Amino acid sequence: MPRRMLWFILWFALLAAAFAQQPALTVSTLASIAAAPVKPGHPQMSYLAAARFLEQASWGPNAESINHLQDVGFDAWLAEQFAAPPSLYKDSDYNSENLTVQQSEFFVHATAGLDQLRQRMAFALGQIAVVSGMKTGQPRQMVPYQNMLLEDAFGTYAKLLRDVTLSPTMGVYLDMVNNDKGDPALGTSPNENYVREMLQLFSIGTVGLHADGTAADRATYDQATIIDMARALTGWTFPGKAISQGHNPENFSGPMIAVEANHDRGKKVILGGKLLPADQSAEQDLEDVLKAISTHPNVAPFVSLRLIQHLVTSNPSPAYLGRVSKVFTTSGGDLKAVVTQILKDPEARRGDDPGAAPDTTGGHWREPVLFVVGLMRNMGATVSPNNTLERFTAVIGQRLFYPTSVFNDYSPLYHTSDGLLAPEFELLSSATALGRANVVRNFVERKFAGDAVFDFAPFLALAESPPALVDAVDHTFLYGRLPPELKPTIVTAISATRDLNKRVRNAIYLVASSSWYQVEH
Amino acid sequence: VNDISRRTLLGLGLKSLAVLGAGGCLGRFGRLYAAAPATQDYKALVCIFMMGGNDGNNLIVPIKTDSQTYSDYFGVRGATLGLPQDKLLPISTANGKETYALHPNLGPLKELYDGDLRGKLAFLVNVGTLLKPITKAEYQQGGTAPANLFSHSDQQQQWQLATGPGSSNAGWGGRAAKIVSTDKSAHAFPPGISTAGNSLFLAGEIPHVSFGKGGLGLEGSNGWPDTVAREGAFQEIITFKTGMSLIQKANQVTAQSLEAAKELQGALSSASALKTSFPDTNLAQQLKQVAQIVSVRENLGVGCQIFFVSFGDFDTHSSAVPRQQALLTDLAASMSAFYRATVELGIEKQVLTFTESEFGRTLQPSSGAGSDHAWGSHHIVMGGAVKTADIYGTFPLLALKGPDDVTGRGVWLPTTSLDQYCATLASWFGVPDDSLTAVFPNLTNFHPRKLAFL
Repeated sequence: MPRRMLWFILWFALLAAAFAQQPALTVSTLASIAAAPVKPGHPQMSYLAAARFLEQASWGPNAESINHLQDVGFDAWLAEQFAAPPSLYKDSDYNSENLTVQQSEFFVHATAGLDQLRQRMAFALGQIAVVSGMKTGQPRQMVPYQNMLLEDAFGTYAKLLRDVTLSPTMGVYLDMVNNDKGDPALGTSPNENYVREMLQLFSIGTVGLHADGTAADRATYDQATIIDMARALTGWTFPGKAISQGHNPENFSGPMIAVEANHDRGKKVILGGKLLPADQSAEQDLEDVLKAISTHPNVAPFVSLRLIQHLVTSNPSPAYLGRVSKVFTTSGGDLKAVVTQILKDPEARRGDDPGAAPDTTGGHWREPVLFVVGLMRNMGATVSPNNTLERFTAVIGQRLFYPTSVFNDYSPLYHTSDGLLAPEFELLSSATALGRANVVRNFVERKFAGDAVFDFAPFLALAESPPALVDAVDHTFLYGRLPPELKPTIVTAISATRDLNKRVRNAIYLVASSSWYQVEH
Repeated sequence: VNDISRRTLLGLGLKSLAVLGAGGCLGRFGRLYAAAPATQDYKALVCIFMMGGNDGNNLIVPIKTDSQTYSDYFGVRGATLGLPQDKLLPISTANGKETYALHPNLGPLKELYDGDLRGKLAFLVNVGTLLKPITKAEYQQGGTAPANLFSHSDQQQQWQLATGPGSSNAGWGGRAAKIVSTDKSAHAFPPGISTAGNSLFLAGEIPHVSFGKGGLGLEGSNGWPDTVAREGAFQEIITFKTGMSLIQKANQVTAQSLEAAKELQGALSSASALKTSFPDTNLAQQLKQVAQIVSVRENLGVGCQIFFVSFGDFDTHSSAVPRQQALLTDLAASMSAFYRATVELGIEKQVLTFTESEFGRTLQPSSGAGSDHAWGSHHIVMGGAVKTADIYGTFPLLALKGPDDVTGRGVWLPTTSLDQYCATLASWFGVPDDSLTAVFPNLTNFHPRKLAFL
């Protein structure tokens, strides 16, 4: 049998299978939305403005969320989000040795959860204060940590830092749990791991910063400070019963507790040259350390930059970063106030007006998780509870809950060869660039191996007319911003077949695999 | 826990190899060609980066040397981190006067040092980042030293970039390859290849690509008119000039990937499969990928290649002994397999493999049976070009607060600079003497500029 014939038969079999499993979904009102890009209730908020905002503030827009945001406006939407209860991970399968159940849960929450902004914030915060399933890969370890991030997502950054510092999961990941004072008999010193990475990655970084994020030419701490701060953080063990010596058995439910006998009671000089006198308790030293960190002038620009990068743009102007940083400082690190400024800032909203000059260095490349979830939300997909969607992010460089190190899968300071900050581009290599197109292909042809449930019907209805179909796909994925020069290219390509299903799939493939979609802008 | 994560990771790492391996399979359908003879001037440098900071103190241990014995080592490390003497693998310096010992799991490397395959391995001891020579007293008084010495990211960057006054922010691998690479045409196959995603080592000066997770090439082009049209449109879209920097950059990477993937697929389709067997680990499979790409160098038409491979988590702050044992077992078996593959290809003298890692670790143990970030550490060079199997450099005195310890925890002030180590490698690769300081600007401060191991 000729190979082509074989393909033909296979193709038909696949197609038949795909149709057989398509549930009867209500056809969305795509055509009518396309006809009415501005809603009467909020004439000032266009379809494009709503969709852009939702790319930044949620796991991606869908027809419903765009409609709702246009109805209520930014402020009411934010208020709803701040009030929405967190989509917490269930405490099942605690003794499992992997996180597959939690990965599946994540995709259900991200596609369907109502606490979209909280989830985005928790995800971003978890990429600053990183733990990894590579070392803490049991649900009993990861579930409390992820739930803590969700609970703290709209609190103060100081509260988050305290909770992270006392988290037994973090304690295991960066060795603060059971980190005892130096033992002359064993010849050991306190472990420096947690305090070094907390300073470098979770709070202030290695270089002094001005409020707008530009670097001042001075180091924030030296090795002697690290050694003393490691001593200040000795003496913490797993939660459980109060003990006067030794360590508690592994337990991840609740904050770590102090064992004074294991705490180094000598004097220390910590961040900013502050002297901690001798004979302070573990709690007193901890309070002083957390205070020295959270009042350090670097925290505001350091954290603000990272949150802006995760939500809006890789390269905020110093003015934008300065405005967010100022809100951070004046609000006492209130993450609600900070994220409100990030999202409503004129620089974030600039692209809402299609007539305005584009911010040519703006936007950010969708990291794999955001990419895979965004595709599904744009298509209005639902996902099955026992999905294995994580493999589609892993194959393009991001294993959900398993970053390669405390430095996360990509660095906030990664830049392109042209010197532009572009953190997520650290994951864009020759291997993953084409891998992403292959992921889109799986999405349109296999619906992520059946894990994503959605309906092509609204597009099929337009597929007799390739230009109308391309407009609808542009509308759904790019909110009408497909460069007009590219439209004939896609129209010609999809016209190569009379098969309407193929037309639809190829049109979505070409738009969603293009860098116009891959870079949120 | 770790075991399962590791296995999951490996499963992913191997995905693309299946694709690369297809080259060998196609060979069975009658397109099997004899391995092309190596061009005389082809050379490849392979960097294995041990991410996280390898504990060099347990890589090579002094047993009886001019300055110290095993008890100096064990006296500080103790049972917490010290390796028992009877498990270590003793080796001698080339002059036979001093005895050191390798970590117990480095048997396959000992074979390349003084065993059946002897003479193919050199150890460089106490290598580290330096801007210029500095004494302990100068360092402690705030003398000129690299910034952020104990930070993973900063030191990984410096090991890969070797930046200094007047240098570009490109990786030193890229800077070296730009000088050595003879084919400057835009359509040449990229000389820089990473199997570990984007690498700073290759970035900046030369075209470089990475192959790994995610497969090779676009899937779904099956010859039907609609898929042909689709792929054509995909290409047109990524070459459309956009004016938006990040979109432009993503397009550029995608376009280059598409071209390189096609070329590599084409080259591999006429390659014969390697007979050398590689372990089923992430590192070994990366090195197998390197060997496969080296095997089709003629088809790719390249005169030199520079590879970046990385693995680890060598950041052993706790449970260090078992964790490092697993990593070094993998390192030794994988490097050994790779050397054998170069022998199979008849180019073992033209391929040089070396290790990098951001820093060594404190000799003094930390709470949790681990060690913390330190400075100078020991490294490995492997290949037929190694002059004499020996231990090169000055071994630090393993004493807390001793003359080589700058913090009191056993943090070694390097006695060989990164620039001297890497300039020797780059010189072998083909960088002329008068260009070495262009690649390694700090080299002007060090003498000799090249070391004797090659």
